Amino acid sequence: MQSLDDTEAIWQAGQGQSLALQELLAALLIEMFADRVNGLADCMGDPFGPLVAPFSGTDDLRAAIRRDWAWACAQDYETPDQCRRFWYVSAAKLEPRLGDRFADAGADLETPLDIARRVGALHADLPATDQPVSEFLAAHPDHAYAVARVATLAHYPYSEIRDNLIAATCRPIDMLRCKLSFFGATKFDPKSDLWTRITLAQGAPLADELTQDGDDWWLPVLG
Amino acid sequence: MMDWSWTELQALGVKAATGAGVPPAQALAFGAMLARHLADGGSEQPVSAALAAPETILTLAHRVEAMIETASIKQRAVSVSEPDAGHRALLISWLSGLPCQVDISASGNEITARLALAAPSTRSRPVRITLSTAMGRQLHDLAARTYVPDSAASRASGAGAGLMEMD
Repeated sequence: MQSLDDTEAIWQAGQGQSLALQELLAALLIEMFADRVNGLADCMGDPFGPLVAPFSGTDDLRAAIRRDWAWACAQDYETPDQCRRFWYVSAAKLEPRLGDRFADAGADLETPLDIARRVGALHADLPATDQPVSEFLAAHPDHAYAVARVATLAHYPYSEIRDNLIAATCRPIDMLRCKLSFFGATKFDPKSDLWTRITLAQGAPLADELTQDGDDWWLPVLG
Repeated sequence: MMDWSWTELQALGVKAATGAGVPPAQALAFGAMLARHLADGGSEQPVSAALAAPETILTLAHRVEAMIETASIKQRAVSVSEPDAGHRALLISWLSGLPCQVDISASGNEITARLALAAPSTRSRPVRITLSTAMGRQLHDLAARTYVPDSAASRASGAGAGLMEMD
């Protein structure tokens, strides 16, 4: 391959193929231009948080909830199975865990992953007459988190998992797989709804096997 | 003295504020403020005092929310007056830690901020941030209030419980 034109030709040739192949192609093509892409790694973190403009008032906020969060507002969170789970941080492992709200201790220390429920509660508490959101939050500071999530989703459509994460039917394995794929995990081997075995860096050279041209080790073992 | 990365310190600040009883949004904002404040060489004293009186964190968070709202709607610089020097320092750090570009000036009790809400912050972050052992202990002790102790039930139902890897 000699030029960006060659790269473009390869990329275009893959467009009729499966999404998985296109993803693989993108990863391979990016690897070829280290001088162009290595610096981008420094831009992948977000040290400050999302840039979102505040709502002009509670009517504007309500409209955003009705547009983006109808699925969340349609749930009845009083129903035990819609709020059975609670997420918490384990003192022993300092890791997130799931508990049963009606059977286990610790629900009073719940981690705020009940986002859908929070947005539903915010929607229910919004005033009939428009007012500044800051004025509303002065009286309802607990709703500030839901307001922030609504504002973020209005600008970044992939910023939320659109599911009730405290429902009895919530399957953490789905979120876990998505997250692990970002780390380069392959060969997922789920053991339950809570954990999975994966493979990271299979086939990677050991220290004494490293060579200047040994940067294609991962491809043969991907399948 | 203790040495922290920005991310570690910010996360610990969020947990500590949560452990002090601050709601999630305000705790998240406090964590960002904490890292910015200490990275900029701010005093630990007002941070420690705010964690001991968490209504202070709620009040400061609300003042910043109102400033952002005013800046967005009225498209002009916004000012607040804060007579307490410690709270004033935290307000400045709070504004400095926002994700957007902020131009801040302070005169007497008055803080004036010009916020460019659509422009990402260009503030740099230090590699490590140093804080006193006492501050670190206060943050850790408060954060520990958010952790749930293990129980027989949690051990029996946790990921991998009862399973043994044989290969």
